[in-house]
Amino acid sequence: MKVRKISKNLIAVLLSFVLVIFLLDTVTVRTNAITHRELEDLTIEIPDGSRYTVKTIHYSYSNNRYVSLRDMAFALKGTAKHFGLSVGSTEINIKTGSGYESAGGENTGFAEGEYTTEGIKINPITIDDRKCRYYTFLGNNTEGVRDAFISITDLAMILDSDLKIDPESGIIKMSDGDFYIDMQEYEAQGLYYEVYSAIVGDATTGTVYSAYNENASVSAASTTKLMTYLCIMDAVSDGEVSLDDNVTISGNAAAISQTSDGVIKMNEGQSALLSDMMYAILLPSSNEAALAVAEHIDGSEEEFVKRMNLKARELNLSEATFFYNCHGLPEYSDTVAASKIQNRISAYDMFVLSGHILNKYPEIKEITTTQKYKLDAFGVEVENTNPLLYNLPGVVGLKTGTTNAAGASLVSAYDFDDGSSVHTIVAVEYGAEDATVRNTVSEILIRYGIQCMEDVPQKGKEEEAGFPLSYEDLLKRIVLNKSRRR
Amino acid sequence: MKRLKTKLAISITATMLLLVLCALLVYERFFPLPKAPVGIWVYSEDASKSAGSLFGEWMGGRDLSDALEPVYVNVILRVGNDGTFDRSVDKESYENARNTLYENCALLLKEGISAHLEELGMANEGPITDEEAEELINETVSTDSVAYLQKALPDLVPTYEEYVKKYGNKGTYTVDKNMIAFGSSEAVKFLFDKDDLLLGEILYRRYEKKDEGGTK
Repeated sequence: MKVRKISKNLIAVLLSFVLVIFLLDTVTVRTNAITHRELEDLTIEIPDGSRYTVKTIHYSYSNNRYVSLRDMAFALKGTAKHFGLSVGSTEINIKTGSGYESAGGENTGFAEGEYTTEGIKINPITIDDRKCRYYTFLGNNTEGVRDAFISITDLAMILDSDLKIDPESGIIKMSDGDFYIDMQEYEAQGLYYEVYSAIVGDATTGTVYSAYNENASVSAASTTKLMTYLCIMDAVSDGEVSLDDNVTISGNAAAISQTSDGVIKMNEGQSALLSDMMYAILLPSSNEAALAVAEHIDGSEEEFVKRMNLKARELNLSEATFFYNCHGLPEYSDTVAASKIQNRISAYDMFVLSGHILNKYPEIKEITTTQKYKLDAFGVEVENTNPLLYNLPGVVGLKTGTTNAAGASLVSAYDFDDGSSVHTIVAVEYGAEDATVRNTVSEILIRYGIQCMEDVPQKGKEEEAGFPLSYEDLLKRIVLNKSRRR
Repeated sequence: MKRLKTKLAISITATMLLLVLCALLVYERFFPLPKAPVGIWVYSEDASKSAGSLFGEWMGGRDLSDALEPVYVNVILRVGNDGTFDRSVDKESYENARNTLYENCALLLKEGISAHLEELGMANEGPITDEEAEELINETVSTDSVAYLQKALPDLVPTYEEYVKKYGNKGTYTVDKNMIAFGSSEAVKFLFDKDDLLLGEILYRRYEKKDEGGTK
C-alpha cells in the first residue's frame, strides 16, 4: 500500500515536472528566443592602440555581424566616439558623447559555444533623445546583465565613426575619423548584392551619385503610391478635386480593408477629407485609402490607372514603368493563363518621379515627415512606416514598399542645405532580402548622398568649373540656379 | 536684155541665199551648235538641315534635322558669252543665314530647357516662358542664348571661307553638247531654259535684279 502511494506521488511529481518544463518551453517560444551558435569574440583596436574583446553574433549568415553594445560602449570610453548606454528589459538608450558606467561582463568572450537572445526586432531604442528604429537583439551577458546587439554597420553610422574590419587580422580598427563611404570599395565588397537595384542622387538637379541595376524593371509594391500622390495632386492643382473634398469609401475599398492587405478598417459609406486620406496613403500605406481616392477622382480605379500611365509617359519614364493599379498590391491578370502581375518601375524612373514630386509639390514633406497622424474619421492613429525618418535627422520621406516579389523596398529623401538653397537627396532601393538590409543599405545610400553633396562645388566654385560647353552641363547649372530661386 | 540679165542675177542670188539658209537650217537641225547658259544664275543652298542635325546631336542625340525653318545661302554663277564664268558665295545671304540659324536654335534650346525643368517638376507656377528661359541662361552664363550658342557651338554653320572653298571658282568653261565643264572641274550634264538651269543635280534660278538687288 505504502509503496503504491509513494509510486503515485512520484508519478505525480514527475508529471508536474514535465508539465513545468513544457510550459517553460512554450513561454520561451512565445518570447521568440533564438540560440545563436555562430559567435565571435571580435577584437576592436581603438586609436591609441588598445584592444578590447567585443562579443559578436553572426546573424543568419557568416560576417553579418551584430556587436554587443555594452562591449563597444566600454571599449570606446575615452575616445572621440564614446557613448553612454543603458539597456533595460525592453528598451535601449544611447547618448553619444556621454560617459559609460560599467554594469559588468563587458569585453569578456562568450562563456559557451552558444548564446541565447530574444528574436531580432525593432526594440525601442532612443538615441540622443530621438526614438529610433534599429533592429537589435536583447539578451543577458555572462554576469546576467542586460545587453543589446546591433549591426556593426548601423552602430558605425549612429556614432559617425570610421570602423573598419581589417581583412587580414579580422580586427575592428577604429580611426579618429568620421563614418566615410568609399563607394567603390563598398561596391567591391558587395553592398549592392544585398538588393536588386538601387540609386542615389540629388533629386533637385537630377544628378546621380551611384546606381546599380537602375534601369531594371522591378515590382513597385507600395512605392506605387508616390505616383498615386502625384496624380492626386495634379488633379487638385487642375481644379478637378479639392483637398477639402469628402471622399466616400466604396464597397471595393471597404472590401480591401477587411482582407489581410487591409491597413485601416473602413466601412462602405464612411467618408474622410481628401487631405486626411493623403496621410493614410503615405504613412501606413493604406491600400483602401488609395483606392477610395482614385475612385473619387476618376470614378473608377481603371480610369485613374490610365491617368497614372499617362503621367509616366509625360515624365518620359521608361518602358520599365507600368501601373496596373493605384496601390501596388499584386493581382492576377484577367486571362486564361492567369498570372500574378504587379506594378513595375525601375529605380531610375522612381528617382526621376520622386525628384519631380519634390520639386513640384514640396508640401509632400509635411506628410512624409509626420511620424503619427490621427484619422478621426476611422478612429485610428496611423504611424509612418519609413524607418529612416526615425533613424536619421534630416530625412524628409518618402515611402516604403514590401511584397514577396518586391522584397523590402524604400524610397528615402533627405534635405541638404548647401548654404544658398536646399537640395533633396533621394535614395531608391528595391529588392532587399528583409527590412534589416533595406534599412541599412538605404541609410548608407543617403549618407553617401550627403557626402557627395558636401563635395559639390558651390556657386563661386561653379565659375571656376568653367563655361558650360555641353547641353548637359548647361542644364545642370540652370537647374541649380532655378533651385536657388525657390 | 540687160534687164533680163539683172533679173536673172537677182533670182540666182536669192535662190543661192535660200539654199544656203536651208542648208544652214538643216545643218543646225542635225548638227546643232552648242549653247551656253549665258547669264547670271543663283543657287540657294538650305543650310538648316545640317545645322539642325548638328544641333540635335549637341542636345543629346535628338533628330532635329527637320526642326529648323529653311534658311538659304546664295551661290551666284555668272556665265559669260565669251567662255568665261565666275561663281561666288553671296556674303550677305550667308550672314543672314548664319544669324537666323543661331536664333532659331536658341529658340529650340529654350524649349528644351523649359521641358527639362517641367520634367523635374520645377514649373509649378506654369510652363517656363521664353523670357524666363532667356533670363536663366543669362544668369547662368552671363550672355544671351544666341551668344551662348555661338560660343558653345561655333561649328553650327560652316564658315564663309568654307562655303567659298566649296563653291567659289572662276575661269573658262567649255560646252560639249549637253555637258558643261567649269574650269578644271569634271563636266556635268546641264539643261536650261529662260528661268532655270539644272547643273548636274543642282538647280539654279535665273537671277532677277530687283530694285535693291538680291534674290531669296
